[in-house]
Amino acid sequence: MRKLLAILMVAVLALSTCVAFAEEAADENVVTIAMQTSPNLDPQWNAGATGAWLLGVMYEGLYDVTATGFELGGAERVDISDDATVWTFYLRQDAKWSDGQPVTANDYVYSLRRLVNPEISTTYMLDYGQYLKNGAAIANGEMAVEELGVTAIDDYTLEIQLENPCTYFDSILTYSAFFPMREDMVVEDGTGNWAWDAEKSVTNGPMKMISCDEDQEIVMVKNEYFHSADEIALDRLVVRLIDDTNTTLQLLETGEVDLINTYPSEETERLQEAGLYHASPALSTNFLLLQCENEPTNNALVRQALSYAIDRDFLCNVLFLGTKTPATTYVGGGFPGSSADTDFRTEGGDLISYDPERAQELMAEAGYPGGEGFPVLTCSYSNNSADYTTMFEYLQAQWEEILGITVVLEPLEVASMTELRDAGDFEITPQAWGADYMDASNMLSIFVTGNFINGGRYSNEEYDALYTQSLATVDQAERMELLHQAEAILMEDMGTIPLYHSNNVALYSDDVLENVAIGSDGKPILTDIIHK
Amino acid sequence: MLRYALRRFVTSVVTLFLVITITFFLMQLVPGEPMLGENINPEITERLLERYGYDKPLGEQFVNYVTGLFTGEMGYSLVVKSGEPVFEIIAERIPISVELGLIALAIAICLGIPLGVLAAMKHNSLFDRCFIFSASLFVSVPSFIMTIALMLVFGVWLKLLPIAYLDSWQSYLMPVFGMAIYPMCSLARLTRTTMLDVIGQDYIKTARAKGLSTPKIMFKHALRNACIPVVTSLGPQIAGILTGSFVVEKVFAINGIGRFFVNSITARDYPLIMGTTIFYALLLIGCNYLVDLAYGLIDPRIKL
Repeated sequence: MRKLLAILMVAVLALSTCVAFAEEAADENVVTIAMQTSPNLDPQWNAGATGAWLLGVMYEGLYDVTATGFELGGAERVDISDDATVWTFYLRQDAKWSDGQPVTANDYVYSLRRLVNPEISTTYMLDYGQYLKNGAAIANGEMAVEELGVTAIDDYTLEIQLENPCTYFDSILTYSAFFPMREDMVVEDGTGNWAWDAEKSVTNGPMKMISCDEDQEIVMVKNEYFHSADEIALDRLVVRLIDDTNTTLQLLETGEVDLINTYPSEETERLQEAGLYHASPALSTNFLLLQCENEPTNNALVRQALSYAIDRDFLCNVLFLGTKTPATTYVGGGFPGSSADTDFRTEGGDLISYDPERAQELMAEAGYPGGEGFPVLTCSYSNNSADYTTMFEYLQAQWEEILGITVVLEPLEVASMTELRDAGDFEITPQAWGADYMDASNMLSIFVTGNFINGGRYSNEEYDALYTQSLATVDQAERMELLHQAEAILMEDMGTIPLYHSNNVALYSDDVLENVAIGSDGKPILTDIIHK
Repeated sequence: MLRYALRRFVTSVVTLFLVITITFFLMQLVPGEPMLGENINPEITERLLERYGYDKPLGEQFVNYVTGLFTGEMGYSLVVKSGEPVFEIIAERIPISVELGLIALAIAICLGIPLGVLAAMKHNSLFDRCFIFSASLFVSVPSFIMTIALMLVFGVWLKLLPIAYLDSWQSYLMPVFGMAIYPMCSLARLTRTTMLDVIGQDYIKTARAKGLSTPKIMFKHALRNACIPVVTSLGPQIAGILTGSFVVEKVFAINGIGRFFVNSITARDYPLIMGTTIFYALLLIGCNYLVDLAYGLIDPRIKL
């Protein structure tokens, strides 16, 4: 009996080693990430950061996002006309969809026509469609979709005509709305839900979806038809979908999830100490919108006084534990300047500072010496951000102390706040803008009269004229000069009070993952990650 | 009895209609609209709202909605898998929520009532005191704190139980207990109190004098009368389990209806807010109705 038992045990042991070996052989590079449920996976319906993150690995546009910027992706080379209005792309002939069919110029023509088609009303039809020749007219129903300035010259040559000269159109093309799409797969029911169907989700990027339960889990594997599949480190991507950010964080800490990029901001300090917090500066600015149509914030002197009373270094380095970079003007660092190797910010210099005495002088000049006669100032902000709570408590203290005014804080639920902001029904409210493409004009575009983000209704004809002129200017140095002038006017008027530039964050343990880089679009580049 | 049942039925239907009406107008009154996004052009939102008929006068929308209800049409979700019929969203998730809710309720009843009886039997003993202390503690801890505490202890520190999803029997433990603890303790406390009342009655003394065994006295004679207030409280207890499920499902990433109830409100997904509200109202009104009818069965003295 004892002998039998011993033999049995040896057999079990041998068997288990075999199994272990088998597992070793099938050792895939699997990375598990987590994000909110229901990321929209229709490249042209999606408006959220989570959807954009996944779309970036599922699709390949004409350009690919890299850690420092972008490079040609779906196209081999491009010819740009001298006035930067005609862009001719020569597509890679080895590019294939995940079902093996070739990616042709017609797939791009289809998707760009869909972008501006008023019957479909995609999310950014106005914002991105306007760049394309006749795009705005088509989006407004004044012209047929076929009139769009996008043509397939042959299967692998795509010509894009622009409405206005645009030298930075390449950086715009990195956005998911410009990805090619498969006409035979898309279902037009006005929702974008077809993209959650693994059968219909035929994509041309490094990863393809094999299963999707948009409330629980999405699984992707390497797309074997991708032209550079051999260079892709990632074999399988598991996306766990969870709404509660505390739960997500705990999954990360117990090792069930390898990487996340959103977390409850009150946990920052602990995460920094645990070595999980990895960050790189984001191409974005957080600023205050001020009501420019009503008293008292319609007075530029008051707006300047409010700005001079803010110690952004203290706010960022002490209160935000160094997780933000203090703003020294509206446009942050990282945007190209007058030539390829200059920075827009370095060229423009600092335009705002902390100067309590100057703030008091300006307040007196505005007719409110020591805050006398100044009405109660209300700050409205959404209550779901611990950062905003910290920030406004600080601003309240500063403004009351330095300017002698009374500040009331009004935290609101997100949906209420959005409606209030869109309607311009506030005195002061925070807003953030992350660059859609790497050009300072994108940051400055939102303060042009009538832009929907510009909820404070700031308006300056000179600013608008400079911005419009910059759009029609092809020479980079000249164009940057116009943008610098525009930014100077915005800061002179204090049309917005810039506060800080936030970080792109990736939370992971260095013991688990390596080769994690944050792309220029702010999202960790998934395809290069190696699970140790 | 039949007349009572009928009358209660009519009032239940009226209650349901009131819930529908009030919710419909209240949700439209709250600031914010469906499909508003941080970075979405309000012009696009406007176009979409028009497409779904949200630009029409409120009264007209309400009439359309209610007539739709009579033909079994609950509308389409605007956000959660936008375009999916609300009825399907709810039907798809009912099993999971109901399963969790029923297990939690069963645990609450099967553990809560005997615990209460036991505490009453050992009145003023050490067990009774410990029981009262812990029951009071757990009744006063809201479920969102309870679930997070459970998660922290068993999921993060001890690493014994999975933190999210329902994919193994272990993964049921935390959500079910998170939902069951409050009703269990509250039932146990109630049972204990009513049992103590009943034990002092003359007929219990008579039973004792006749030489019946304590368990027989407790479970056959005392418990039956002590049960009446307990059954009455079952209606609100079920409500407690339902509202607990909102938090529990969100925290443990469980794909039930509770999560959608919360999410639909944040997203101002009007049709889904209505759908989930009607579903929960139906459930609650139905439970209360059954509990009311059950009085007559438990206590023949009550004439309905």
